[in-house]
Amino acid sequence: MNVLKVELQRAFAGKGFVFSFAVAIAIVVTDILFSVIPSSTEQEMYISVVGHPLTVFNRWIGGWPGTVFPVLYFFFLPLLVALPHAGSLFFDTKSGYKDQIISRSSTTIYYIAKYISTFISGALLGTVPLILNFYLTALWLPLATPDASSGLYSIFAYSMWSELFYSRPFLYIVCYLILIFTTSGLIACIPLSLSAALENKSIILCSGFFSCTILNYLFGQGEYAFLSPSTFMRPDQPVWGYDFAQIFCFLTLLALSELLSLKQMKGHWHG
Amino acid sequence: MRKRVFAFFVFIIIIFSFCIFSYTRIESVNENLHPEESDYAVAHQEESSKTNTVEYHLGDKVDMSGVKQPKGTIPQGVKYTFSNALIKTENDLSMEYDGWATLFGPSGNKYDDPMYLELDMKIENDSNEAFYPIWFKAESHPWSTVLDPNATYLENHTEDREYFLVNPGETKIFIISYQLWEPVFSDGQWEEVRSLPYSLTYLDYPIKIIVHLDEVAS
Repeated sequence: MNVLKVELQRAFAGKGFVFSFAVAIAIVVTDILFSVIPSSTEQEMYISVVGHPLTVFNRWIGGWPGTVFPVLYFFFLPLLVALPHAGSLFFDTKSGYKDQIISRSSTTIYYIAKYISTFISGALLGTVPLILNFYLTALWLPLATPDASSGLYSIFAYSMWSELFYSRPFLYIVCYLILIFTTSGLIACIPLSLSAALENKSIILCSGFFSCTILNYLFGQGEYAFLSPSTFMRPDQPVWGYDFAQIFCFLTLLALSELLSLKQMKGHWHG
Repeated sequence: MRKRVFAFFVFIIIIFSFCIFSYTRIESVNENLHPEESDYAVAHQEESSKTNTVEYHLGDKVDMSGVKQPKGTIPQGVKYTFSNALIKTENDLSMEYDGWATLFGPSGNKYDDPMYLELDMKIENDSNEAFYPIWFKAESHPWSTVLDPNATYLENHTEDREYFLVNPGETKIFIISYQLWEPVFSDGQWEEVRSLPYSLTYLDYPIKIIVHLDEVAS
């Protein structure tokens, strides 16, 4: 338990976390300043022309694909979530810190604590700025229930969880935040699982980002978008044609491969 | 110890103030949302007060007087009646209308051929103003679509927008059409596309006018 506590402290108190959090907050606040607040002044026009107001659900960063901010946020998220703690296993191994910790507890506990702390730091980095953005958007735009016939929402009948979005929008957002939380956590752990295979800390830190960028390039626009976290993590669903079962399988495989890799790493470094 | 207690109280006061500020701000944003109510909203206040919807069924006369449209409101004395809802295939249309061109090709396509939800829309204009009709959208939760202008123009044998002008004292019947296409429905919906619970809707915030299409022939 102490090892986990120490690892969590290292993950959340380091410069990496502060930097990543600051960048993520900067993106979501800029979205408020340059997208949400200007939109809120056009409310009357939307009500008279479209017959439906702009709402939190179609203008928060996870609801509107018409600006650059969600693209920026979800594109750089795999890099931001890795900065706080994902490179620490490599650093601990090279510096000898890991051996000291292991001599006081056990190898398994050390690896579990490392995985959990990396996962939680990445997961919170992925979701907290989005919650802040939703809250700030609610200070400017109303919480009116979405209506499919308004044409103001990027969720269509064929989008994942579309029925939920138009009947219980808060539940839809909670479900999506859970999905983003899990995916961000798993992406943060990609560099961790590659720590033994790679020799350069910068490359290790960027490995999750590179993987997501390649997957996004290969699958981000087509029917295999469930293989691209940068795409399927977006609640505004700019690409459709996938369902939750496919995403669940992808995330399960990712988690299993990470755990397997850590197990092999443990065997490789500790016999 | 005193410092800790003081810091704790300061923290509680900050959190409390934050919650009060958020609550009042969100409350005011949602209160200010309600626009000046249209004549339609005033006329249907009792019906719409609870659910913000005014509901009709196929064959009912839909009083459209005072409904907001992009430019002004619909004049007093305008009534819509929808009837004869049926679903047609592309084959039906190509046999009925010369010049019908299928949009996606007849076969060998990735998706099934589209179908069309077709209705008669009778407009009675008892006002003293001529007006162009506003079009309802078709909906079957969570699917929604706008009128298909190509099919509607073809089915009314016209290419002229003037054809749809309804003069004072005039009653006109138009055929209106909505495209039903596989990829825009959810998987489960397309399998039951002929028996889905369709409705026509028009948004006049905060009111939504709904015409339930209880019987759709196919």
